[in-house]
Amino acid sequence: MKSFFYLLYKDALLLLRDKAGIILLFIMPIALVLIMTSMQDGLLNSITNTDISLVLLNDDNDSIGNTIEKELNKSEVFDVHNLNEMDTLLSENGLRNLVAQGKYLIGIYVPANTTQQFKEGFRKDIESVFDGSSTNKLESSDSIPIRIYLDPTIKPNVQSNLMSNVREFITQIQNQFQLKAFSEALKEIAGNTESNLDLRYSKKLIADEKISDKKEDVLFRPNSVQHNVPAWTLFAIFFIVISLSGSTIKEREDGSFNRLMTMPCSYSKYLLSKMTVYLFVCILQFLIVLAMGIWVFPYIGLESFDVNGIFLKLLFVVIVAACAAIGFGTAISSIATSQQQAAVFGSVSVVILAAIGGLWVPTYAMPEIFRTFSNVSPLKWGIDALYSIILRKSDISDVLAQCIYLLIFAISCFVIAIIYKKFKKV
Amino acid sequence: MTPILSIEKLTKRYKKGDRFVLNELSFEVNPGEIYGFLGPNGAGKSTTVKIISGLIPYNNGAIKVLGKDLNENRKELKKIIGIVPQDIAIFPTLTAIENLKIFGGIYGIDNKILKKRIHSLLELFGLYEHRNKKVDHYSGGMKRRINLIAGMLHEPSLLLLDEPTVGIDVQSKNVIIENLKMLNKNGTTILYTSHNMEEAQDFCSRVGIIDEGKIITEGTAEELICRTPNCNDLESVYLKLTGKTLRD
Repeated sequence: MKSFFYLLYKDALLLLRDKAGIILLFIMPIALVLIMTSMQDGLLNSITNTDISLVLLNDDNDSIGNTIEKELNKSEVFDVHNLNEMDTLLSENGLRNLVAQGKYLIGIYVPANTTQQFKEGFRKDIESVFDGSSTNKLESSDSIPIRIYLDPTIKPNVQSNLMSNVREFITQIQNQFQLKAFSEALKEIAGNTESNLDLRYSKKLIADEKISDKKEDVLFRPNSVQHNVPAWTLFAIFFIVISLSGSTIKEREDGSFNRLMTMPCSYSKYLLSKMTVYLFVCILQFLIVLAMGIWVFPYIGLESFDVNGIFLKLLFVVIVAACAAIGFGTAISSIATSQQQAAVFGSVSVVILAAIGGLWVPTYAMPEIFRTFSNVSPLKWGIDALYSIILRKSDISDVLAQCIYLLIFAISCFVIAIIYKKFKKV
Repeated sequence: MTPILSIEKLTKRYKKGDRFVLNELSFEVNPGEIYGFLGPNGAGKSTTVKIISGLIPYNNGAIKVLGKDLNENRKELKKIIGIVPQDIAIFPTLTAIENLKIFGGIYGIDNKILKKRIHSLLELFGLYEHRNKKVDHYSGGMKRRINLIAGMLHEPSLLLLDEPTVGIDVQSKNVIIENLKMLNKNGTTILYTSHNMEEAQDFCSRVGIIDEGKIITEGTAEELICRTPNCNDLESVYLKLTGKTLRD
């Protein structure tokens, strides 16, 4: 235990003496979160709704449901996933959960017998108009609810934009369908007689707009602060690979690592000490970026970051992500043969992983190919977990999968590092 | 008397198919000795020190320290072995005091004792005034001295010195040798590698000359000089036995 304490003392001192490293670890995330949040505050608001992932569950399986399905498939605006083809057992609740988990931006549910109800209602209305029991307006007594679910992470202005697209689309189908049904009804009831019915009051397909919130109808509206605070926290956490691998290689180059290995100090103890110090650094980075979000952002015209009730959950994910970053840094330091090599590989790989992981631009705004590709980035797993906690008020159990991926990544990196160390020790 | 260090038929080659760096090397170091382990470049001196230190594995043979197998008792034996590597192995961005505190702490030395020991060793090696300077700012001789202190801080029973005086001025060399002699008088056994035959002749109680991974001769400097015709010092013995051909 005493030797471990002195290893910690050594790692802390070495870190404190590394001025450039300190700037990289603490000043860089502060600068990045400030600059990027200010810049992206405008940018995120202007994200267009092209290539929007949409999931459809057609329980109607009749004219209206099938037409909606067909027209959506033709649409260039939506990337349609048909739940009936994917999983026949899924219900409206399942669709709602898929949207709530952020797998799709929009979910559309067409209930069973929608077409049947529409036809019957429409026929009754027409008959009542013709037999004089009603005014010449079509009165709808029964509404036919097509329910639309939206991901709560969509910005408010993007939400309204999306909804107007969906509404416009459904209105078009509704008009087509009404005209067809009206013409058939007229032919059947009154031959080819024309009527001056006012179609504006006919039975409408009701687009029931809902926000697919997870708990107690609490709606957290994401903004650039809610994207950038977790994003740059993760970026900073993964950027420790440069300092960590640099310091490890430096110790190897100046011979002090070898001296430590000749002392009563095992390699695992040596690694554990480094992990502990850098874990502390990661937590400090998180607290600094968080403090910026909470207290500094409101002074520069940005929204304040709200951590009410989620701080410990965020901390948990940060610790798991830090383990992944430390593992990555350890693997790099084991494989790289010089500090320069580790610095270049470390920085470039982290920037690429951050970019494809959706730290610069949220993944939902990326083209499909990049969205698929983004799943290989541990930063994507981290940001997904943090997003889920911040925006959907998820519990740790909801983000356990991402945390497990991060831990598997960390363990794999440590194993690579140990194998490489053994391989090098000829 | 149980030798403090016993090497039996030690073999080492870095890659399959390469030549043997150590070819059934065997020698013993007795308690209280200063054993000079001499040989040309590439003879296997540093490899032997690295193997005893546990930094690299070996292929065959056995190493015993105080009669105990080193591999099986590494954790326990690490505490009684001190190592002074050929290259400076100190944290350059830390001060002398910080470096020694860390190394002493890892050896588990009591804080009060450690403080006193650091103080006296720094004074003994003429570094006390520079104790709060970063090692990076030290001269070559000062770095060698702090490198040596770090290896003897825990008062080891066996001290392995891999060319401890290479590349330093005469004054620093003198301080190092005199203090090593004093350390030996106080009971520390020393295994010393060097290319400096004059220094070895003066300093070592017994020497072994190694070439191509084997001990080719062993004894006190006087014995070796007497045994080898037309030689009047250790350097001439060494050259006669290892040849004048350049070794790289």
